[in-house]
Amino acid sequence: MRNNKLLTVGSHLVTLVLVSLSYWLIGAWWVGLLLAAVYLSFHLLQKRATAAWLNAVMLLLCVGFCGYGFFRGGSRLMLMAGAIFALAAWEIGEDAPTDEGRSLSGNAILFERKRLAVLGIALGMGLAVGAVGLTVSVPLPFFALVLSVLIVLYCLYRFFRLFRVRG
Amino acid sequence: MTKKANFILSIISALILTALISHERAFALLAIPFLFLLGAGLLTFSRVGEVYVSRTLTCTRGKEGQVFGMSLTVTNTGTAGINLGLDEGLLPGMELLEGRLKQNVTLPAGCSLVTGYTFSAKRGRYRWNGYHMTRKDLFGFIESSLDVPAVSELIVLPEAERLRNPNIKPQNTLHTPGLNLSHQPGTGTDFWGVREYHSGDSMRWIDWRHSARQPNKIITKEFEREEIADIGILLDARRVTNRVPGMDDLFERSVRATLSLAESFIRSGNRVSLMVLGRTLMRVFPGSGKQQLIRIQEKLAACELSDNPGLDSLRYLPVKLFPSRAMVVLVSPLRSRDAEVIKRMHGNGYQVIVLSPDPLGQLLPEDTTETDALAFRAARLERAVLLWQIRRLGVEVIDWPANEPLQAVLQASSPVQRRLKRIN
Repeated sequence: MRNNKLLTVGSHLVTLVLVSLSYWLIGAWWVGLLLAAVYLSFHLLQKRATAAWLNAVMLLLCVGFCGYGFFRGGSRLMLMAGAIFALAAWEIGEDAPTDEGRSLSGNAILFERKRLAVLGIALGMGLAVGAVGLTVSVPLPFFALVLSVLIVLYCLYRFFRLFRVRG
Repeated sequence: MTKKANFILSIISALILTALISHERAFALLAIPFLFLLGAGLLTFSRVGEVYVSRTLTCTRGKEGQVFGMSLTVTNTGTAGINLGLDEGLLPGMELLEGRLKQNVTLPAGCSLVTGYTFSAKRGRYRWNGYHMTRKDLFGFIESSLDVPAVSELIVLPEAERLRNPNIKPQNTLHTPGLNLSHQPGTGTDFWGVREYHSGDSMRWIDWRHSARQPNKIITKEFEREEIADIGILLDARRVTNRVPGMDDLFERSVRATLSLAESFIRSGNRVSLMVLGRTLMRVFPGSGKQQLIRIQEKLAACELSDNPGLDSLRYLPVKLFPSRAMVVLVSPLRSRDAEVIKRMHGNGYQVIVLSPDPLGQLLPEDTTETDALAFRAARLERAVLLWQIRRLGVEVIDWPANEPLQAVLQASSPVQRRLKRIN
């Protein structure tokens, strides 16, 4: 689907912008150029040879760049957001329907829409929880921490069950 | 869980490990979106659900080059919705023209999905036993294979060349009216001779000229009786004779020629049988009419080359498999040891005609070495000698070059010429 391709490219661009900006703020502007060069080479490689592992390698590199940025003291929120967009790009590009010239059935379009919706919600919630975790620091006893995690997990479980296909 | 899920789990583990080693909680927080994604995938996987598939073809018999359509109806008969990965593999010999073979769909309970594709196929018999699907979550982290029975069959018949007057005349006929000259007087259209008029003969055929010269006698014309004949066609499907480098379609030409001849003989009202020398001896017993042609077409559609060591030489072929005194047309590129069985068949009273597609061709490729050119020449000589040996037995041999249509080759020579042709 053409939309999926646009979303993938868009997500990669957002990742590039966020990570480059974060490194630029700490004076390592060359990292942004390096990441752009890596993206360009992978994009050209993908045009010549469709290999499933290319997407995975790009995700690992992005996460690696973000992780290194944490050590260098870059903006954690921006780097986290960059990694999440890289994850979104990986997931959208991984299962994208092939044979773009042939039209999809209604059920296939329904599947794609659900997939993108759940992806958006899962990663959005992940970013929100991550952002809260970065900004708020609450000292909790270990037992309370474990209980909170369990409650959060249960709420998430109930929430995502809503997206099971209904009868 | 799939490789994709394992990949995400590896990233989560690596991030948490890095967080523990470096005491940097940002790594642990970075693992959260990955966890959420994995959790969302696992929770959207539906374990229950029953699926029924029905498969329909636009037609169950067709010819090479024809476009066929396959329609699949997938129905969720369960009480819960289901995410499915549909995957229809093409069978060998098929070529996809339009449509999708793989797609991911969401099927609510009680709903049906109609999908399909068009394809073309080579000669053969195609059979579908089931439909392969994968029950999965939205992201492909968990997959469960699902094979649902959906049976269908397609027979793709070979294309036949319509032969007009193939110039192959059976010598022995059956006492049933047909179109073959029987060398006996009776009802027909070819003039046979004259005889004395008997009571009951038709007045139309009285030869008045002869009668005028014969006082007190009336002379009537006689015509050659036309009858049907028993014709057997023997198709050589041995790999050892048909696999020639650079001529991938040698066997297909033989199959098309067999069908063309069978059609022509059946159209003339003859009783035709077929035997295919392949993995086993495939037979169509003698018969006539449209039904017989359909049986022969179906047998030829399904025949394949085979490596049966027992049939590498025709020496052990039982020659009494055809009706006695039938005309037997052997369609084969021939091997040197095949002359013996032709001799036996001829000795048993069969009228044998050999239609041999030339496996060597006339021209050598441009990059041929001197050794190859000598080998080619030797092979041509060997073939010429073999054909001459067979002709010496009194058997008609039709040497069919690769670049000529069958009709032209059959029309180009008479039965006498085919028996007497010398080595060139």
